[in-house]
Amino acid sequence: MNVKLRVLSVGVLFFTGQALMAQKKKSDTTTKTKDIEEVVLVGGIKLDPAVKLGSYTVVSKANFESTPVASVDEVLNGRVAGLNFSTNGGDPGSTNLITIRGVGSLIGTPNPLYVIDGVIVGKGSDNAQVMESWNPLASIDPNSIEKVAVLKDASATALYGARGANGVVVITTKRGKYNQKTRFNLSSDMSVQDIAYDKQKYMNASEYLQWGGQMYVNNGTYTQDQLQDAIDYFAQNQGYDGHTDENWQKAVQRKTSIVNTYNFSAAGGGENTSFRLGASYYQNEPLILNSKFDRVSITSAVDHKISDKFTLAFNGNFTNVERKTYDDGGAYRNPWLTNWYIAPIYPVYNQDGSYNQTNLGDGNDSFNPVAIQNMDFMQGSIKTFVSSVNAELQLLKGVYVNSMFGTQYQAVDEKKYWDPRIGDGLTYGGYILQSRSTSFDWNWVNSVSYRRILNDIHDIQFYVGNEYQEHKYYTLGAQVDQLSQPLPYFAFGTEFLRPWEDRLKWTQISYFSRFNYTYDNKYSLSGQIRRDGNSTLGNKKFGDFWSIAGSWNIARESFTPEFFNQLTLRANYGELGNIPYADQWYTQYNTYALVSPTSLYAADSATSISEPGNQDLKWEVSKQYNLGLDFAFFNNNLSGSVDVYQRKTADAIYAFGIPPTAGNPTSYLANVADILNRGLEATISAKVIDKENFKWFLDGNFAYNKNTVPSVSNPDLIDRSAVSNSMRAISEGHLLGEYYTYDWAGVDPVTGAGMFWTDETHTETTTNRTEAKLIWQGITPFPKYMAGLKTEFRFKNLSVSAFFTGQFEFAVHNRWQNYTLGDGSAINNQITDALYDSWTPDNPNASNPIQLPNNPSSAAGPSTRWMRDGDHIRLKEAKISYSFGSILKDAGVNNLTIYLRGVNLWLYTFDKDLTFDPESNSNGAGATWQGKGLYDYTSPLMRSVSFGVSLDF
Amino acid sequence: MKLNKIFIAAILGLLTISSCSEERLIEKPVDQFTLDEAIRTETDMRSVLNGTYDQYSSAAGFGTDVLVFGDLISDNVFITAKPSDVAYRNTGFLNWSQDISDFGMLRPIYSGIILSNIVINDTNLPESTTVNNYKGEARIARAVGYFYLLNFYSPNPTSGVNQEYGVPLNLDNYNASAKLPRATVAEVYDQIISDLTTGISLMTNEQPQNKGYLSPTAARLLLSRVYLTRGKAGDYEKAVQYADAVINSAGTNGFDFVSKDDYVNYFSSTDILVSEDRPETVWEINMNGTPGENTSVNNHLAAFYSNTGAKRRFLFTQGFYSSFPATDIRRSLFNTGGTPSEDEPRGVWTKKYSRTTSEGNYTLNTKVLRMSEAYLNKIEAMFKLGKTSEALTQLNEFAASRGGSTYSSATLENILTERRKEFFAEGQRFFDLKRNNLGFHKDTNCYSIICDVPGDSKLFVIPMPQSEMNLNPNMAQYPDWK
Repeated sequence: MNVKLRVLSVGVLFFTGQALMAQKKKSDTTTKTKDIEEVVLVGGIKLDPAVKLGSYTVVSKANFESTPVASVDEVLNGRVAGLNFSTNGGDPGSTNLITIRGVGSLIGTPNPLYVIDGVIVGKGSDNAQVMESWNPLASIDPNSIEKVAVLKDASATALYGARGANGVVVITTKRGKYNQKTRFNLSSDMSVQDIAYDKQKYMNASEYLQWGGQMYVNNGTYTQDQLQDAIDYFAQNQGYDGHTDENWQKAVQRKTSIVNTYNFSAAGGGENTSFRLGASYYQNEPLILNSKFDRVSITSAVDHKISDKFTLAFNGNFTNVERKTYDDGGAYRNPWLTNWYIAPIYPVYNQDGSYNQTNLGDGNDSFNPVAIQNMDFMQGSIKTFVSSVNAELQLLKGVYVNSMFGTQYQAVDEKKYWDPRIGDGLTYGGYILQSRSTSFDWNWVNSVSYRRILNDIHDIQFYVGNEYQEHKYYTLGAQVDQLSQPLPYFAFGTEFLRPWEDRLKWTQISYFSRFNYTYDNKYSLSGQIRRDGNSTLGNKKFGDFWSIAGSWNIARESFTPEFFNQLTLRANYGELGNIPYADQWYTQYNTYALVSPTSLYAADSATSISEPGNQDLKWEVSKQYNLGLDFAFFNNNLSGSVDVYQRKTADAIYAFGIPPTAGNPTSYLANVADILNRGLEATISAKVIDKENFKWFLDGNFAYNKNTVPSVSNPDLIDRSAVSNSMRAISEGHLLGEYYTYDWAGVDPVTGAGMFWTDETHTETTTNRTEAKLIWQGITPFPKYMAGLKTEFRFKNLSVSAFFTGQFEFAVHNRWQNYTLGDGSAINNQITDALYDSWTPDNPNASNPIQLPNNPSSAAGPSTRWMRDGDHIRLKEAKISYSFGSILKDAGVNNLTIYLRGVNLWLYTFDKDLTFDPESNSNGAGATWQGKGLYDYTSPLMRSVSFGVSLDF
Repeated sequence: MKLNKIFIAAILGLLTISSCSEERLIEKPVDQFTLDEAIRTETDMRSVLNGTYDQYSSAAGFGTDVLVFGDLISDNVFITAKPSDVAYRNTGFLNWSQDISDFGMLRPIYSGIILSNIVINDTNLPESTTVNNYKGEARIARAVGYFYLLNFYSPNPTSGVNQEYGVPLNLDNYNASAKLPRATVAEVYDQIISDLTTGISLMTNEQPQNKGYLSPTAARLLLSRVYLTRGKAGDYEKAVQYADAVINSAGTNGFDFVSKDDYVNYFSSTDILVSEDRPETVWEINMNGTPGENTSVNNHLAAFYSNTGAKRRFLFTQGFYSSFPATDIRRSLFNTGGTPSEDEPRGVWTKKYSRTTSEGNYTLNTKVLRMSEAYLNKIEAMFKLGKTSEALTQLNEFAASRGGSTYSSATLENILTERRKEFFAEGQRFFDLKRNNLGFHKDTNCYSIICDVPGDSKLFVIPMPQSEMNLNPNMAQYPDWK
């Protein structure tokens, strides 16, 4: 029973505001390109599709509207070539793990940077003190999104400097329009959800007893004929009451899980001012009893033209999230573990209706999961306020000045309560912990730019600017135990435990400049230089970075056949600084050697060494090449792009291990390795049929990425992930996070013993895992190949679409397989394979070894026996929607749409033994790559079916 | 126009101001100090010294594991055959390797040693009496760490084999890049003895604040065991000398031998006034009810030993239990009821570790060193000096003081048997056997992969863990474990 106290897993929501999107003022130059709206980035710098220089993908609002998701990053799954999505918990509001073009850093979150209306809101990494995983992006209402651009290479991400090295997701929210009558939208959605994919079969009472009995036949205590006696012996020893057959997993769940969403918005504008106001309420009742996630958000955007040359824009968003959740991972109180940690022969309730607390199996006394879900809780209330003000002034012809001030304030209020009558609370007489954390980030960007089009041919843009950002985090917590009454308020605490306080801060100064030159809309050249300094680095706080890009719009050349509607070749190279831990709190002071004088030896104060320090810590540099081709033919009915890239991280920062003989702490941050990502991405869009009343569209994407660690400062180092049972390691010359474990050699059909290969030559086997060697497996938890395919049919006003995603060439495993298929070493509930597919003299070709009580063999321990191919194809989304169009115009309704939508409806796994969801991650290492593909019973991904209505009037 | 010019001026002004000074990039934490400022006052020095105990007290260190392994790798304790939690499986089955094992004491003990180094090597503070006492105590603490490390990870000095495989001597201040090679066994012993004797001379204060802290008495007791283990010429005499020093100091400064009447309560009383910080205890690991300051439900010794422990699985054999005659007070520290029926014959619980005390569950202090050991060290040393008749007298006196059966001759086996009866469940058996180059035999309830372990078995030397081998290129693995 893990006594889980103050969880120091943290990230932070950063806010570094950069420029807001200014209103489109000049009209687009006409080309025969597709209609992609432009994306505006920093300081008024725009990503103009006409001069597309970099590799980026735009995801339209249709994908976000009417989507019952808790956080916006879920929608990107499968829709962007090269973007791999997996989740750290299907519990709404959990952090997600997203990699674009592989993993570029060894520590910290590999997620891209999220920018909302020019405001940088961090990487969606964990911000909670107590709750397992809290995704700051969950505060944003997906319905307010206009479009999302995912920037993948240096030319675009260089603008975001230090934190853009993993890619940038630029989110633009809806704004009002000038000179438009106010329009309203009202929409509502209701969905029912359950677990997307879980084919693990756990034993029922009779199977469990039979398995136990068989074990005593296997070890010779009984003969096979005496199986029933063996079963009775086992049943009596385990305390079976003779009739219980409990399905514990069902007992901790609700019958149905429902999500409700309501949205309202109004947008309009006059001659000089436009506005948009939105409000939404999202209510999610997840599967586990007593858990919930409610979000209220209010968004506002106002633009005002003071004069033709001077505009102001304002954004203000407020969100309040109320969340009730639970421990996950290996904590005994994780409700998803009840699948196996309590055997089905124990009842939830006693005869008299009280909770069964004493007959739950060895070691489980007082940990009745149903009681824990009903009596203990963990809850959080998160209030987020994001706001920015942007001003742009045209000083002279072609000269603009832009200034933006942005701020984000987030208050997280968490409470954990352990009832004194059960579980962990028994040890402490009840326990209450409350923590209040606030993070406050602000930044200020100023830039001056010169933008002119000379002679209608030369399009010149030049920017120079600077930025200062400051991030603070303040947390205060208190805890009491020995409660006089079982009520969750401090007033009832009689023993006061140590409170805590943390104040953290980091700052960054940046200078940047960029120029763009386009000749005749055909040839483009762009370059930028920047200089960044960060307070968390050592002696060398500043780094200089640059990038250069060029593109050739071949379609506009005279020699290009008319057949090509679009043909653009682009290339770029850039070097960007990156600090991989920048989005997490408690990593701000790595460069100093520090002691903490506030430890304790029982009641006496003690000092411990808290940080080894490293004054040489400097920027890691991400060096990226990209070569791409965009094309379109057949009147834009067929279009697509191909990109080839290399992303190398030099001087990657890593938690360099300290050997045990040098004492605690266990590691320090140092620039120790190079990481390489090489790959290819392709997208294709086809309007197969594009008639008035019938259309058929196909959109596909494909990506290949190989992620290796070509060099490490200590070439012999094999750094195994500290997450227990994770079986992966970092070492020079190997894939990043490559599996490094023992090779399972199957079951000896004569003796039933599990066997391992002694080494990689596979010439000899042993039945003792301690005599085998660890072997590199050549596969990682990150897929080498990814693909997505969307097909949409439109018949008049009816639209039917389906969206499939696939991931291939990766491995996943169940972190606790030694419990669920322990060969008798553990006595909790097992998966049914232990009974039906284990060795007995009658079943000599079984895939699992002989089951023995208290099995001394280590065959159930981590090895390739646990690994599964993660390859799969998923029906990510299917939707039928009908738009009434202008039929109801007379009633004042501009449009009414109704739809039926399903998410995660179907999963096909190529490995028949893969019984858990391959997109599920562990939170064991916070939100880092180390949790990828590690299934440890975090809340599962959900499948949902929803019905919704959207009304525009 | 006017508005424009004002605005322009403002913007340019802002731009100038916002080209901020790089001073803003210097940020330091508010609740931690830099390493070179760790000791500025005597209070700071005490806090760093307490840090040694804090590190030692972890469950992987003296809090639990050091005592567990001392009994599990021997003929004392077996893990029940009743299927249960996987903790200590590898050790229980006597099947481990460099990579697969339960042993985690290397890091916490070295962490404690390094904090003691910081105290010992400090030159900031003038050497007042207080500072010298602290430095002395730090030396003793460091010696405790090295002695136990050596006893786990290195071969026995009198075995005559592989004596170049000692443990690394880390005597400097904190250095994260330290990649130390092994010192020889002899070198480490010299350091231990030097630290203990210097410690005794520096510590003018004989009475520790409470028994959670080391003292000159602890140093003397440990020296008697150190000399007894090393066994060089002249060592056994010193072992007797130091054991006598401890025996003669009984009744002063809070140290005294426990009487037969108080014996059972000394261990099993739920009132901490009776079982913690007692005169018999020479050193124990302090714990209390504050979360994080006890080894808790997952790791406390009571969780495994107590018959109400959450992970109750450590049992003694019927044979061992019956070797205690009815008059032996130590027989009352066993509990035969409620043992798992899967064991054939059934095991016996011990009552030495109570789950619940007046401070809460799983908060009982772990007793590492006791006064009574001085007698047994002396007896064994005298036997090794050839003074068998004196040894026999004292052996029988000791046995009689517990109401135990007496012996007809002072053989090594009898001496170790009495020691085993006194210190079962207190983590000594493994060291007793190893010190004497003896093996052990599990005659009943043997579930491990071997039941007969010879004295020269590789199981008596713990392999350096995979994490050390991976990160320290200068570390040589013990030959039997390569």
